[in-house]
Formats: sequence, structure tokens, C-alpha cells
Amino acid sequence: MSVLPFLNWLGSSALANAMNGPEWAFPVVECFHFFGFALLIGTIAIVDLRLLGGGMRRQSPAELTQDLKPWTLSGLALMLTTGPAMFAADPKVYYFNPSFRFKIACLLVAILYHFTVLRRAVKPDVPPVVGKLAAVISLALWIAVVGGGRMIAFV
Amino acid sequence: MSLLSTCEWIQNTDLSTAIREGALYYPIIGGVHLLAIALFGGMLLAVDIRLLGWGMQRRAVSDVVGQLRAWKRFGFVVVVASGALLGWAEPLKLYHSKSFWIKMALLLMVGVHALVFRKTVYGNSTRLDEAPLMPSVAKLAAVLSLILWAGLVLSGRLIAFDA
Amino acid sequence: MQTRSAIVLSAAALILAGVPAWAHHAFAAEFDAKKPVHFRGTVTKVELINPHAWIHIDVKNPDGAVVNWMFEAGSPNVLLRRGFTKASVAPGTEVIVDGYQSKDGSNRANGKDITLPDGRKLFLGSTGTGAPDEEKK
Repeated sequence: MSVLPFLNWLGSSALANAMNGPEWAFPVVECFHFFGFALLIGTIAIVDLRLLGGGMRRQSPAELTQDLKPWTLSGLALMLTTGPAMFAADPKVYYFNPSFRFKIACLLVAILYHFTVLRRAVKPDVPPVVGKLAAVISLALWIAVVGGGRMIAFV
Repeated sequence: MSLLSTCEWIQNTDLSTAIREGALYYPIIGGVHLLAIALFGGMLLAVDIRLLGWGMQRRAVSDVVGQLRAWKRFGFVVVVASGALLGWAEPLKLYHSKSFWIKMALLLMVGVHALVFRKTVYGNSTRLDEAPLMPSVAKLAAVLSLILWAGLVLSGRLIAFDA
Repeated sequence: MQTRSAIVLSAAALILAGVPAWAHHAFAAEFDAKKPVHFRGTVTKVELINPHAWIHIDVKNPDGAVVNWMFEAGSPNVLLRRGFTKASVAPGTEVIVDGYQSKDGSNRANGKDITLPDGRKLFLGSTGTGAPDEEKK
């Protein structure tokens, strides 16, 4: 099945029309996308920095993960609603954009990594060096997601 | 030398032209700016969430405020530095952009906010640990800091959409 | 709860406070696929700037009046990679430009292709502008 009919349908859907209607719609949704990734990546960064031995050192990585979980998940939820809305504004542009594809690939890996590897790396019995490595990979993945997102408009 | 002629001078510097017309400086600096927004914003959110009692209730206020302070400042410095470089690339556009001046006013208010609440909130976190209820001045500081940060993101994004 | 409502209200006020006339970069929002334009004209100015370059050309109408049109192109990054420089479209160069007019009816258009005096045809848009037929490229 070709994906083009779906992209065409999405591009003329009510959601696309709403995003492309009022001139403020897109930038405002984009800002909520930024709020979402600040929540998501900011809270993940606090845990990653802790694994690397910085920031909130008086708490354990597991405690921080638990504390920040609702906010990390809220950020993710905000990203995963505003992101598709922005995609709907111009489905074909994004679909064929190499930087978008790179970003989505990194995003899928980053989410998967977060809920499998990183979740285990914060446990107390994990050797510090493994935790550090896990944190560096996590940060690198999220940096790639943001960087790829920024490059969409420039490739 | 008027502000406008200063902007014209900046616009004609080699650095300005390189960022404005070059292939990769602009998106890379933009990416760093975004990441720093997330870092600064994330740290700020964690502190404000704690002050508002929306999360991290088991952690002492002084733990959250004190241990994240350095990272919050680091994020702020990077966000301002990368923002300044982006601005250096298009001073004439910014001079005529309403959103830019709103953003600068908000930035000024960030400074005022820090000065106003340093004594009672951010520099006073051990006292807040002992308070039976979070004082409203701390909640006010947190709410205002969230609004200012969101306003900075929003006005910054809108610069690109100013006609 | 009061502080939460205060945040929501303030955010809404902020959003409504600054609603100027914006340009949007999504093709579907700003340009009309049903209004293709095709012009031969003289380049008057090239703004090879981030995030979008703009090419200004003077076009002579059938009635003899000269009208200035602005064509939006991709970012300097994509244009430079395709071999498009400020020199290749210096002011005074005769070019043929294809594109789609803006929805508001102004003399602005989304540039599709530019044909240079030596016959070279360069694709002007970003990778996937969302313009019609884009996916065939």
C-alpha cells in the first residue's frame, strides 16, 4: 500500500485545515511542542546528569526517575500530540524531508531506549560506569532528536 | 550613533553575514539554542514544580533549588549566548519586530524576577524547608517564572512569523 | 487550583496579546497550488538568507507596466549545495521563474524552478515544499 493517499488525505483533513487556517495556529502549536520537549528532555537530563555524577547528587537516580516520571510522561504526551498536528499541516513536506526521517528514527530509538535500557540503568545495583554510559547515550539520542528537528527547515 | 545605525553596522559585520547567509551556522546555533531552552526550562520546571507542590514533595526545597542552580545558570548562559548570535545575524529584522521587543522586555523581567525573589525564595530555601506550608511568595515566584519562561519561548518563536 | 487557573489565564492572555500578521512557512498555509505563475524577468535583488532565501524580479506586464515579484526559495544550505550562489543570479540577470502565488493575492510566490541565462534550470524549493508534484522529484 502506498503511503501517498494517506498523506494526501491527512493534508486535506480538518486537522490540517485548522493548523493552516489562522496564522497563529502553527507557531502556537510549535511552542507547545517546545514546552513538551523541555519537560521531557529537561527531566530526562536531570536523571542523566545524576547518573554522570552532577546535579541532584543527594538523591539516587532511581528516586529522581520516580519523582520526575509524571512530568517526563506529560512532556512525552505533549510532544506526541503537537508533533503529529504539525505533521498534518504539511504531511508530504515532512514525509519526504531527510532530516524529518532522521529525527523520527532517533525519536523511536530514544523512546524505546528510555523505557528499556535507561529504566534499568538507574537501579542501585548497576555499576556506575554502566550508568554513565547509559546516560551519555540517552543525552546523545535526545540531542539528535532536537538537532534533526531543527534541521527539517534547512535541508 | 542611533540604535538603527548600530543595527546596520552589526548586519554588515562578517560574523552577521556568515550566520545569515551561510549554510550551516544558523541551523546549528538554532539547535543549540533549542537544546539550551530545554535544559534551562527543565531545571526551572523542576524547581517551580517543587515550589508549587506539584511534585517532588519528598525532596527538600533546598535540595532541589540548591543542586539544580548551577545547571539552571549554565542553561541560561548558553541560551542567551546562542540567542545573541542568532540575533547578531539579523539585527535589522529584529529592530522592526514587535515580538523581539516583547521578548527583550520579558528578558528584562527575568532579571527583575531574580532580584525580587532572591532574598525570600531562591536564596532562602533552607528556611522554606522548615515552613509548614509553602509561603505564597514562593508560589508566586514559581508561577511568574513559568509564565516568563513560556512567554520567552512564545515571543521568540513569533519573531520568525512577524511580517 | 487558583495558581493553576492563573497560569492558564496568563498563558492565554500572552497568546492573544501578540497576534500580528504572520507569514507561515508551510506551503499549504501561504501559497495557492491553483495559482501557478510563470514569469520572465530581471533579477533586482537576491536575499540569500536563513531560513528562506528570497529572489526579487521585475516583470513586465503585457500592458507595459513593470511589477516587482518576490519568490521564496529554500534555505541557503539547500541552494548552495545545488550550486546556486549570489553570483549566479546577480541583479540584472534575465531569468525565468516558475512558482505558485500566495493565497492573499500579493506579488509573492513560492519559487519552484529558476531558469538561468545559460539554460541551467535549478530547483528552488526546500526538499519537499509541499508544492504540487513535489513527490515526483
